[in-house]
Amino acid sequence: MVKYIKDLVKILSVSGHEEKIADYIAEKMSPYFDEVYKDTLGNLICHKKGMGKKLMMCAHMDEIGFIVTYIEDDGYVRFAPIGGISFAAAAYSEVVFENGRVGVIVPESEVKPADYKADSFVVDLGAKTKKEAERLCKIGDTFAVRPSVTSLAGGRLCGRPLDDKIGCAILMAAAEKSDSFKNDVTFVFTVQEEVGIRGARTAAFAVKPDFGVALDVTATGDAKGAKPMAVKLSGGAAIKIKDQSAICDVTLVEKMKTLAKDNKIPYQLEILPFGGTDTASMQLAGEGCRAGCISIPTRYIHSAVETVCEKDVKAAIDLTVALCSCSL
Amino acid sequence: MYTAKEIIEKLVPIMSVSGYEERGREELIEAYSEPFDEYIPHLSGTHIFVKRCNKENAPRIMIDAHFDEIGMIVTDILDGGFLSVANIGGLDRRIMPAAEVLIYGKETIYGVIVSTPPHLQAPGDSKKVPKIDGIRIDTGYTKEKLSEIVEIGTPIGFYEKPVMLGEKRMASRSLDNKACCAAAYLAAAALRAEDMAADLYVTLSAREEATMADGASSSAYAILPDVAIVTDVTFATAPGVKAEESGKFGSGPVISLSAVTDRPLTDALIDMCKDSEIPYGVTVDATNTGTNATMLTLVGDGIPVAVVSVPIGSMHTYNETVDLSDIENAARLFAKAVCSKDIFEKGEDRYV
Repeated sequence: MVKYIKDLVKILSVSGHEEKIADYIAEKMSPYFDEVYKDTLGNLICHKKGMGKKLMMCAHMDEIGFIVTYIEDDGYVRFAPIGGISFAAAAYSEVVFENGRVGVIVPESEVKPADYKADSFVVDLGAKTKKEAERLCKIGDTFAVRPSVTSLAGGRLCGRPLDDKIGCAILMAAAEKSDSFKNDVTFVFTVQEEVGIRGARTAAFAVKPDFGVALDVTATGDAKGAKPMAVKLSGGAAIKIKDQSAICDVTLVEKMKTLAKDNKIPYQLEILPFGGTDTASMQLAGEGCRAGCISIPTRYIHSAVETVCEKDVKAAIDLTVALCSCSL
Repeated sequence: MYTAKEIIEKLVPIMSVSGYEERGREELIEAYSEPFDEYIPHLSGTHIFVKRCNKENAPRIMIDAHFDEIGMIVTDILDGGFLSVANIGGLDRRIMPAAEVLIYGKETIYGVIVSTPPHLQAPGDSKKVPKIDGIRIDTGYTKEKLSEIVEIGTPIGFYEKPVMLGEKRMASRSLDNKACCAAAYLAAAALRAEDMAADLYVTLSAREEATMADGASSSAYAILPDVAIVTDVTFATAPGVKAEESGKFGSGPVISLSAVTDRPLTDALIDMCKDSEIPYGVTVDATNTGTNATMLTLVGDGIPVAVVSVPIGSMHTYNETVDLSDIENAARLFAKAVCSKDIFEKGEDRYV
């Protein structure tokens, strides 16, 4: 299985609460970089000096989840979603809080799936009264559907949250080859992507890269009933051309295609008709930079069974290393 | 130097689908740079043309006209030599069937958007607007041959070329926003360095149609101008367009009154029109001008921005229309602004 991924998914990191996962990544990354530090928003910035161009690569540490808003007299917990929650996917799941406490997320009885929204759900912690519930959690606590990662046939990984801990794992694996880096490379593990691609913006403003590349998941056209899209699972690392938030820099896209061909890295081209990534934030920070994205084809995004293929993950690692080591 | 008609005829054929503005750089420099002292490429794809006033510590004025145009992008190459596409910018999908397009692959090839014959349409089909993911382009090539020329991500533009309607009206694709690029050019062409109060930075900015202001705001951060004028198109009064939401053809540029735009700068531009007898109109865009202005005001520690628009008809189609006199009058106003010392004054006094 992909290195680091089992640890990464276990550390709860709902947007705005990325400190623990940043500490874990910082400890693992410090041998490979000249400096590793956090900025004001909590982005983890890992810099390795080099003689080439300034290259920033980022993956977001945060995951979608929930935040406690109110505790009712009968002990049920009300909450608000953080990020793009699908309640159809979350219904009747176990949820885990920062303190390890487990509950279940359930719709109010008689609410039809078509009418699911945050207001029609509660978390049942097993508490009988408000007082009991308040001993188990408090307003402002975050939680998420229970993490997991398992192997399916065909070298596929399935679980949550692979968005975007798989991107973090790819950067971490690439960092192990930092001896071969030629560019002035900064890996940034960003915060608050799921709530408006926020962390990458301040990080890119500080780093001032010439080139910015995000690593994040993308949808595929080969999930049953999916909208037409050329990206396929096992088709290789997806080089993003466009999504709803950004048109990637044409010269950078060409460079990545050439690198993939020269190094025999399987790749495919991606046009995502919806969604956005840290790419857009890097592109616009300060004077801007030439921005792009290496995407990991992923089925069932934002569910508990997000599915990726190890072959694509390996290709993304190889392309990341190639970018850091090439003449830009 | 070119006339309004000539510079538009030069600018329209230059490929500039949002995100791909750098491809036409050499052609653009060839066509556009005569009135300017310097060309600066910006990594966003924005083309910056500078005309200097040759005075020490001169202030900087930015005139921003987005250079990009709406278009499409190849999402897949299909059997039979057809292409599926995604839109770049807000296409009017009602008028897409049977349109001629240019596919900017390894070589530029023609294509035609497939239209279902009326005989084969189901009842009610004619009232439906085609969805973008149902649109197919016929190229005439086999899939194999087509794959050698085109790939996923190849940009596509419309084919229509400029033609004159009567004496002063022109119809063409991409008048949004090459009409305004032309106005900035004509202003620079009319300026002499000794009359200028500021260095002029014309930004033909990238990616307005796709992501609103990507290119303008990042290149403005590189320039940090003292004031900026955004010039973009607005709706021309025409059948189906209300007078209160539009400007009349041939009645001059339209100045935007909005919470986003800078009041003293806007007032100064209106005074210049009055003093110099430049015809003009005003439009109220209460909280959003729908242009690069909103993002530009937030660059650095803030930039005072005004919006001056040129009315066009049939916006976001491949046959937009414009009155050349509106472009010429917008250019006269820009030239006045660059020569005005008052608009560069700082401090609280300017708000009295």
